[in-house]
Amino acid sequence: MTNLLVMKEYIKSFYAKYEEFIVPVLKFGLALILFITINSRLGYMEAINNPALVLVAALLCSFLPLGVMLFLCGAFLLAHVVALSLECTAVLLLAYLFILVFYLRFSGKNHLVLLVTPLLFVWKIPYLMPLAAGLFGTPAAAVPVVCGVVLYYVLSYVTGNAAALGAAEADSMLQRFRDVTSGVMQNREMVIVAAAFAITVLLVYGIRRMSIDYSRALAILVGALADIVILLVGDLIYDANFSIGGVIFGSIIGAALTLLMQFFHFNLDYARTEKVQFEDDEYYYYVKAVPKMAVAAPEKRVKRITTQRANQGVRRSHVRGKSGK
Amino acid sequence: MIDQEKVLRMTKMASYEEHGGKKDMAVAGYFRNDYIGMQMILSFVVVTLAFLAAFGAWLCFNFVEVMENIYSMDLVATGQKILLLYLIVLAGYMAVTWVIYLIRYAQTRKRLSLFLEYLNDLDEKEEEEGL
Repeated sequence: MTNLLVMKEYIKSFYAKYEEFIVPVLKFGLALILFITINSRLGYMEAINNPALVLVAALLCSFLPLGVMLFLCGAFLLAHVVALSLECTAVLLLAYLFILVFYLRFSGKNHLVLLVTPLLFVWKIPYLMPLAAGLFGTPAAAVPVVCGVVLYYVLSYVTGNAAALGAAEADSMLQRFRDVTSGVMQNREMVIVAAAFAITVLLVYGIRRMSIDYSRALAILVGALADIVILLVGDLIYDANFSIGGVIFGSIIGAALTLLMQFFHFNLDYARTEKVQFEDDEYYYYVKAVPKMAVAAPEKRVKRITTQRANQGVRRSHVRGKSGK
Repeated sequence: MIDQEKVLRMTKMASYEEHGGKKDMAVAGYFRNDYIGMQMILSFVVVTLAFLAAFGAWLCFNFVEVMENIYSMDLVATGQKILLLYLIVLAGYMAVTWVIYLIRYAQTRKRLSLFLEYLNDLDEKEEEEGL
């Protein structure tokens, strides 16, 4: 535990020192992972499978706001789906409309949640997202989580039925649109997961705001259990064919990772270094405000149990006591 | 001689200005009702487009049934039902927009009034030093 705390302090000071470089590098890494995942899992348009294009797009994302990353990911997805079939494009556009109406119109602060949720599904640990979003975000984070779930299942349907969709030339366009739409809309798994994740975000947020000891750890525990219960009950009622082992094991990993994230929590502890410029009548000020670091200096306290001087006093009194007798 | 307390306060103010302060100033540039009204117009456009798209998708999905029954169905009653549905969706979305942007405007004014309070303090202090 002590080693972890020391590591946390090192990371804090490292982050404060090199924040200007760390954030773009992290954004570049995330963008690269997202674009590579999109290209490897969809990849229907050859023109944008080019690694040079992916690198340039990731580089752009590294110094531009997260909204640009969201836009470029959306564009990549759309381009691939357009190359596959027009009916899927229409369904994807409807999903984008859903995201616009319920998320982008009201909030622009949780792009990261929306970007990472489908990625976590690909990595088989989606249960991490509602716990993390509830723990570090606001109840509004439930909206991008649900949007991410919807987007993942739409894309999952498209990739799962790509061969059938590409070959079904005999059907009319309307029939194919109908097939794709009903395939996505009647996906009970999507509805159950979206509901479970939304409830989990709200539950985790509610518990971590309570003024009780270990509220955050408790929020993670209760959130993970609630997630498992809702998913399994949903599975029982609607017969959605969840893998019970996958849900339980994934939730345990998700909870463990959230606990780790909680330990290295960046939001409040890790204040940013500020560089500001201003002036008054007499001076120009170029201020670099570095946050104070509570670096735990290794403190060594030597407690002397017996010293000669103390022993002398004891001996003297002992001798006096003897002579007094 | 540099006044350290003044520098500290000015740094905090400049930092606020840098991170969201400019946006807050743009929002506070409107009267409350103008700001909320503008957002509601934007919401009206978005929800109308979304409803049209959803209606179009529903029409494509049920194209065969609609075409088979188009002569037998009561078009006026169907149109009224669709209009009623649109009005309900619109009213709900507008209400959510109104609440969200009302809260957002109040929060913005609160942050900005604190900033202006700091600014006034700074001005007063400079005037005192000038005298």
